[in-house]
Amino acid sequence: MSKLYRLSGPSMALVLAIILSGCATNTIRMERAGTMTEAARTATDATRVLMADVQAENRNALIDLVASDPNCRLPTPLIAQGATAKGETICRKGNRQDNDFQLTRLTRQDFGPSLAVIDGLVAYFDAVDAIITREPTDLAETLIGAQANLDAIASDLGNLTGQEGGALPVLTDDQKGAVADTLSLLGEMIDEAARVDDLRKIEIQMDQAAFADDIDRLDRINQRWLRVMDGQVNNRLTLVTRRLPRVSAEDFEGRHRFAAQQMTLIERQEALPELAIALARTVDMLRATHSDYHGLLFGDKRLLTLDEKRRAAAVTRTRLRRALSHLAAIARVF
Amino acid sequence: MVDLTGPLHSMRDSLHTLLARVGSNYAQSDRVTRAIFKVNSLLQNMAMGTSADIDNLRMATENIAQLNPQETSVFEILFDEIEKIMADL
Repeated sequence: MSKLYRLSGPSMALVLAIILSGCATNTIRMERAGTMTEAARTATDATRVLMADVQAENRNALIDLVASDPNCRLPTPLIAQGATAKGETICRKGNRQDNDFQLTRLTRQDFGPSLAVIDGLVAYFDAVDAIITREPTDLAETLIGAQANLDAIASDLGNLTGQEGGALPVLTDDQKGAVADTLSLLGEMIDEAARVDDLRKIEIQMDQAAFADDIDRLDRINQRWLRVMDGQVNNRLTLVTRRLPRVSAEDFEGRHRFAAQQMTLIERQEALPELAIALARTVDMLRATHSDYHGLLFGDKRLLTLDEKRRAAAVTRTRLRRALSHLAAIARVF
Repeated sequence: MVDLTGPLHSMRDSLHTLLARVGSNYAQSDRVTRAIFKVNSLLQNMAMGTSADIDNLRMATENIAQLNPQETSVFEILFDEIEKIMADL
């Protein structure tokens, strides 16, 4: 490089500041990706827990029914409707009549379609997570891992910059440290930019409309299983309510046990609307964090929130301080 | 097709009130229990129906809330009606 084109200290500082401020947006992009995958984990885990709870409730409801009525048989009791024969209480003893219906026993297969939607979403979030959590490429270590390499770099740099006598003098420890840290900073920024590029590739390949549909579907899946949960809890509550008057007033222990179970089921049913709101919020949060993440991935720093602008500025300041603190030592090397 | 969720929920509430009132009357409480099971089954399967069904169910629901558990004949008629409507949903 001719001396004519060499950057002065203040000019280099300005160029560094401009470069570093642009790169700080990548840091926020990565942060938003992390926030989104966290929201995704919360939402999908919540739906999985709901489905496991529904299956457990369904199992208990069937057991309660068979325990309440000797005519009922596992695994799918036949509930009588309309006229019943003598001795038939809740379940039909004989052959199925027109309006009779079977209670559903929920198995793994019943949750298959819901799980398929969740698995599809999780595959995308895992891909994003793999990029933001992968081990960074250590550029500094690669370049300056050994004394010989470092000296060779210095020698080459000396040649390139037209220093008299070709090779630079052997670097001092301070200068080695300065070169190492500057390369490390450069490595961090290159690595971050590469991750953001990889994240963009995923977004470009993904069908955004199908993804939005899947998030809406997650909402409907929650609503569907909440309805089933409500039905199972209510069936159990009905059986306890039916059973309680049949327990003798003298049998305090027996009545106490049924009343306690009745209260538990009442409380569980009362809690369902709040659970519905909480689940809807997890999906809303997922939708919003993806939208924020996607927007900034393809947009620029004007999309940053005030708080993010402050954090980006802090990142830039830290990096600038790191770069400038070594500027004098680096300049001597060159 | 109209969403029947609201009427079915209010009907279920009325049936629970009735279940508490019929108490230890085995035959009646069994029939109410079966009706509640049916309502829950419909609710779980996102019950949809025509507006005529809704009107009939609302009427049956209002009547059932007033029902005197001792009036067995009225009870039978109402339940026949309710079960008939629900069978078509």
